Amino acid sequence: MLRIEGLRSGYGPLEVLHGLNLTIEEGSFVAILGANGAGKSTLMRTLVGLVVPRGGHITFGDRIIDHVSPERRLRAGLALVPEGRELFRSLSVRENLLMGAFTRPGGRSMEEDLARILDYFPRLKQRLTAAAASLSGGEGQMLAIGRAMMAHPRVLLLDEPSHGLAPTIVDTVFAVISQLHQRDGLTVVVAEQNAKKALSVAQHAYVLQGGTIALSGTAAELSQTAAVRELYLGG
Amino acid sequence: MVAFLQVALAGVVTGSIYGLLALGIVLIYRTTGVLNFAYGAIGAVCTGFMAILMMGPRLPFGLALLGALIFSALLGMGLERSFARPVLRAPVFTKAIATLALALILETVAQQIWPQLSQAVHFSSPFATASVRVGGVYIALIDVVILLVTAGVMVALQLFLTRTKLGIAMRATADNQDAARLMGAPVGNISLLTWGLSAVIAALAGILLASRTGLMNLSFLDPVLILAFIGAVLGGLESLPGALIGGIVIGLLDNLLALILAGHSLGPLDISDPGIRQALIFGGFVLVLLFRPQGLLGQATLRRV
Amino acid sequence: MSDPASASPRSAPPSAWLRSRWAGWFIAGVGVVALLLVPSTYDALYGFQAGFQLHRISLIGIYIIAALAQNVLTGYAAQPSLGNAAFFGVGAYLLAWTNTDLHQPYWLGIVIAMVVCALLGLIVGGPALRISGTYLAIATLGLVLVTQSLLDLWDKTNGRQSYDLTQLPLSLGDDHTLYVFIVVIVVAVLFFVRNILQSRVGRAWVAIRDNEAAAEAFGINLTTYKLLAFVISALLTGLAGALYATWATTASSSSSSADQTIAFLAMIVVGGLGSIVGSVIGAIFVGFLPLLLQQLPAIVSAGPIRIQVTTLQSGIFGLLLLLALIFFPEGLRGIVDRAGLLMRRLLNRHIATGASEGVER
Repeated sequence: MLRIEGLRSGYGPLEVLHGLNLTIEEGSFVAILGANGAGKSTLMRTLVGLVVPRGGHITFGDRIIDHVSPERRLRAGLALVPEGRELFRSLSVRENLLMGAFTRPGGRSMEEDLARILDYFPRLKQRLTAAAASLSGGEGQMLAIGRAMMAHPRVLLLDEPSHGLAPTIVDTVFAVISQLHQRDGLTVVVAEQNAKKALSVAQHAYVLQGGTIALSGTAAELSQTAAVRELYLGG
Repeated sequence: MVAFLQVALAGVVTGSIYGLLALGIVLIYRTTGVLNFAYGAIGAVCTGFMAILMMGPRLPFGLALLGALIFSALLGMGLERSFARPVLRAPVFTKAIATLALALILETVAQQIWPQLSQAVHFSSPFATASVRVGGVYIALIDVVILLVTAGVMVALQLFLTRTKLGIAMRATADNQDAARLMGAPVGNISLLTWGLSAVIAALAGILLASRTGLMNLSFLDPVLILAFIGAVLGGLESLPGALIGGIVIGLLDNLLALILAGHSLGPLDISDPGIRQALIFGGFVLVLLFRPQGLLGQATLRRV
Repeated sequence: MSDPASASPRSAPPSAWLRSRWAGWFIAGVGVVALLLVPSTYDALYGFQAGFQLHRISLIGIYIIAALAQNVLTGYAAQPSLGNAAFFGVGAYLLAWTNTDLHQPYWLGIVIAMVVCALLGLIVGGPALRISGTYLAIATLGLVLVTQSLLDLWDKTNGRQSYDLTQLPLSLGDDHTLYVFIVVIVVAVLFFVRNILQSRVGRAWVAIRDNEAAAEAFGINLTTYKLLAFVISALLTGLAGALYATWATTASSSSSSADQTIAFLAMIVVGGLGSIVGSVIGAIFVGFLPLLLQQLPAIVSAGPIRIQVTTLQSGIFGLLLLLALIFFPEGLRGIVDRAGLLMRRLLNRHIATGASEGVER
């Protein structure tokens, strides 16, 4: 579904990813683990086209999308829940969701989408007219995910969805993500520092270190690996 | 009582013109972060274009109005491409001073093309002399038109911004440009639209004011612009209804103070002087900001560090 | 030059000397002497018109003081105030009042203008600390307009057309003396501002500007230092206003106009925020360029095309201002920085080759 070969990317004079290879199968749930600064966000931003790669190829379906605009990638089915949520704080919850569907045709199907998404997030349903700025951290993360889902993605990329949330809220967020994966057959890629949580729900995982893939395998294998246990799971 | 109503009404009418200009100021400020000191010049140039259409080719009022509004939309969009783009990433002060330079250039270019507009010229409108009577109060027809147009612009703008996809995208872009781009919103075209729209509002404000006084020149909006800025800040700089209300409050205060202070003097000091009135209004404005640093309708926003 | 001991001090890059404090004094000294030589140069250049021309360029000095004042407040202490023209006007009127109506000595009028403006700066600064950003800019702009209205009213109540300074010392009526007088004051102010900026106070301002929360965490009292910026800025602007009245031999409420106050901000923006050199360049650009443009020929004709240049002046100024802002968004002082760098490099190379030649010999 999504194949990344020899990807090099970065900002200005700084190269962050040095020739990255990884493959994401259709319908899989993949975790990308790594410490702060390992290049997880750069990878996510390069995948949706916010950062232009310097080398290598990204293949989505059967098309090479290295130089396709973010908008076209979104239309093709690649949506990102960005780090720090990046909500439209002065807009209402409903308007945030509608913005997520900007590339979709309006009308009846839009209302159906809205109803379908809100089924996953009952808390948001009660707060449809509230300003996004007034949401709690957990609600905000739900809104960010719901907003990305409004674009009908085939692959949902999430950048640090656990960031700044209390442990119980993190559990709820990940429960919703796995639900989306199972019920809708969505391909999910989560970049996380919270390896324990990510490995508990993902099928496959990659460990990103210094801009390349250091380890990969099934989630079960990786949670048993000594290195991962030591580095990310606290022994 | 009738005198009071008459004065209050006149205040709301002049305030509406300040409010219209304040709307356009807030629109550009929110989407591009530019404090647009050239806004008066933009309105004056468009009003001047309409005056020329009526004086030169002797177009009827309606046609000239249509021409001026189209001209203003094109002017606004042209300025976005030629002016706003190059200074977009500059620091905020640089952008504000750049609009000052823009005002000088606009006025000079307009003066070269229409030298007759450097002096006050007659601006004729079909509403000039007529008036309607409501209860015991006479209202000039032009004042009714001003109130209707202002209300219309406000309602249309509010509907556009809250009910249409493009309008919501416009607010989203003002709020978080990166996220808007991530959602696939055409951020560049939205900026173009904002400038076009605000230029049309400037043109409307200028045309209404010129129709009311029957006169215009290329700098006739400059003194009004400062009052519009104060109205915009009073309303909180963030909200469009706030800007309109802020403008109306300023207009209302000015007229009511004139009524109250008329004919009074404090010792040798003639307090019915317009200078005193202005000092009171600006002083009051500063006081309001002291107690509400975010303006009357602005919400204290938590800044992310 | 075969003796290695005598060659070694030469191997130190000359730019180190250029950066040393002696070089600074030397350059400043040369600058002051050059400025003081201007009047006799003008005499030779313009003849009987020299006085008129000197009078014009004296205005730059007044604007330099005002720009420095605005830069202390906005460029260093990060207060986006548009209120300085209020002090400019008040300074001018205070001098006119003490001079013409109270018949006090000139210097006393200057001192009163500075002291009263400093106090007003304190009064304005206190409340201004509660307001931030654009709100502060427009609120202080309102203050300028209040001041203008009140000054206008004062003129009107006293039934005077213009508030002329009738008791000016005779010597200041002479354009040559006035020029030297202003140069001396400008140099003193430059010295004063430079010292403040290099002191504890200047470092505190920069710390507040760069990160207010961090500065506070390091024990810098925000209120004290911001207020100090308001007071010093008002004091200097009051001085500039009084000098302006001296220069124009009259005080006018247009000194406190919106145009004037925005011009002060324009000076430091086009010159460079947070830079003394920038203030000087900005004052020249905004204060003097329009006067210079007035000297363009009134009509330029190329073949059949005749262009009326007089009506183009403000547009040409606007265009130059816009170009300066687009190409130097951080201010024109960038040119000076680059020129300085280039000079240092050339000098280094020149002396380096000279030294190596010497060694070969």
